[in-house]
Amino acid sequence: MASTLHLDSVTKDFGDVRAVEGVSFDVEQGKFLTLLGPSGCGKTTTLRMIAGFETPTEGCVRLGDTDITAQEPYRRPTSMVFQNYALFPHKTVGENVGFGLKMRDVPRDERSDRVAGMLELIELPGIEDRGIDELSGGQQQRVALARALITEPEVLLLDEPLGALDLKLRKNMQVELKNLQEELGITFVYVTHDQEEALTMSDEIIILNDGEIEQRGTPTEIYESPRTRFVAEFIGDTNLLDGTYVENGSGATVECGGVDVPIDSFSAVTDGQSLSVSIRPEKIELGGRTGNGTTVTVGGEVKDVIYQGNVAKVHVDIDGTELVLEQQVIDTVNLPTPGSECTLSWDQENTNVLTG
Amino acid sequence: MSVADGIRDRIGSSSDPNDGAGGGLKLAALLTYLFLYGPILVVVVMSFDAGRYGLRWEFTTEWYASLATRSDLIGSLWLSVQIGIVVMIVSTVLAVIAAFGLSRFDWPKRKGPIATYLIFVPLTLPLIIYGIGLFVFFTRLGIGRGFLPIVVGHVLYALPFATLVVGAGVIDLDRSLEEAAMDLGADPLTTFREVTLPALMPNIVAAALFSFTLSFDEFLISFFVSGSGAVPLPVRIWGMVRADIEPEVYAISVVVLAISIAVAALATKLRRF
Ligand SMILES: Nc1ncnc2c1ncn2[C@@H]1O[C@H](COP(=O)(O)OP(=O)(O)O)[C@@H](O)[C@H]1O
Ligand SMILES: [Mg+2]
Repeated sequence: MASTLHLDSVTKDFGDVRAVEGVSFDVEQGKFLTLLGPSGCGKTTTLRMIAGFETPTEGCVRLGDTDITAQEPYRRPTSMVFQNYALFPHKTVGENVGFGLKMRDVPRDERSDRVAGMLELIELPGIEDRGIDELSGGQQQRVALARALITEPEVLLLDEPLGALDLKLRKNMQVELKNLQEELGITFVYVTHDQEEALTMSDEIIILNDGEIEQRGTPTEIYESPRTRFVAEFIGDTNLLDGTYVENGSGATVECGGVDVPIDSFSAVTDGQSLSVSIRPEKIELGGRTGNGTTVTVGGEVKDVIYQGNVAKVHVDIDGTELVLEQQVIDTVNLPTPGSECTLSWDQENTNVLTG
Repeated sequence: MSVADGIRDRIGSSSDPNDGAGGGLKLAALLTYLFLYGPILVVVVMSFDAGRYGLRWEFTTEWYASLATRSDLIGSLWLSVQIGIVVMIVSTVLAVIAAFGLSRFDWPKRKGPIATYLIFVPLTLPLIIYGIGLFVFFTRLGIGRGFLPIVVGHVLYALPFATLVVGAGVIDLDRSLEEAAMDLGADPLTTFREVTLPALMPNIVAAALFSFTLSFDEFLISFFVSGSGAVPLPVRIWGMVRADIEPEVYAISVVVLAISIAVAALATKLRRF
């Protein structure tokens, strides 16, 4: 049963507040889609509209060919893992996990078999009779996952499910969740504000900003080719340069203070208009380079070197404009010294022109 | 050092027998408790006093024994219990409805606070007004005094308290629990039964016990609307209090005290205050 989840120009207003604005996307069956964005950008609201807890002010939600925009949450083949887990405190682990089956009138024997199987899957076998308050945070997280998965939903919705776990546990769970998702082939719509988590787990990422979609793409696309200023700044570190677009014979240049950044000619803007570009620090090398693409080379003065263990951040001043580059630290002796002259280079492909 | 630490230090040092200030504190505490429980103690002591007119106190249980023969007192006690139970059920059910209505109903602008205010304002009104109002109301209806007016009056009296107790639970209730239930396929009614009600149970039980004790002890409203056939215990006792109090009154007071303490203990046990 291959049902694609579609959101079609979905908007949600809470009184005067527009939480989500004209959001459209679709997720193919079995894909892992992440909604990524800062707090308050409308991630939870979007998820809740898919689950049925909120009704869109405009637009519609479809699953396969069925319009589910107005369908009650208890009739939808979606399941949600809540941010705070929302485990029933007065029920045992077994009753929690089996709840969805009980609602579907699955006989008691089959129910307990499937609960046992589910607990095995999340590697917590035999804890049926425990109380929720006897579980650690990580265990509660798994039980919440088991409870949501046992009804075999077509779409699993996860709202920052790892947010409350400590770093190490979170890293482990990221991998486990991803493996589980691939194994079960269930569509995951995953909400997080943690860019690293999104990059690690997702097939595709949608960046939300202030209720609107900024960019959609694979983790590589989002990281390597941010299309807007917001995306470039939100994901990873970057050098953002604001300048003026100047056409010249074969291509074009963005003149940013001290640096002229060559780019391919760009039809969206005309000569003399302002334009921004983004270059990731790790794409810039110290010294000349011999790549197979077009290389950009500029000269400057080393201002500062910040040693961070495996890498060092080198701040370089180019006629009043600062660029930061990241260098692998292979040998601390080879780090540049502040005040020295240097040459920077990068592959022109790694210059991202930002359109918004 | 926090204030609490300071107090703890003081209490700690007061256990030192040579510390005069600590001894004074102890005495003050003792007197405070004596003041709080003195009147109750008097009733308890009197209920076991054999010498009705004598000056010397002598232990006896005869008043408790003769209590069994006092059908007026026993009848009123039983009536008070019956009224208490009916009031408890009605007031608790209404409190659950009111609590949900107030906190969950999508009130139009500014109507919500007004509705809340109207539920709770009776808490501040003099009970005597209720008594008079109910008396006039039921007399006009031709029902007069008796069981029904007492129950109605007590429900009116207990409802704001019960609503407060249940409402606190509804406000604290984690909405995502109900959403999780619905997400897993429970319709609204099943969600209420499976998740909402169990989560609220401590508050509901507390509201019920609270309603019972409020009704059981209530005097002023009962005084206005109780009739010859139906006289709750507090009104009956009041009627018996003259220059000399019959010793059975002390005995039944102690019985009432025991019931109240039992209910309070039950409430404390069921609700993790
Ligand atoms: N029930 C609600 N009532 C009013 N405003 C809301 C409600 N839910 C969310 N909002 C607002 O909508 C915006 C998006 O919220 P949310 O979807 O929770 O963001 P996120 O999950 O990305 O942090 C926020 O400005 C928030 O204050
Ligand atoms: Mg959120």
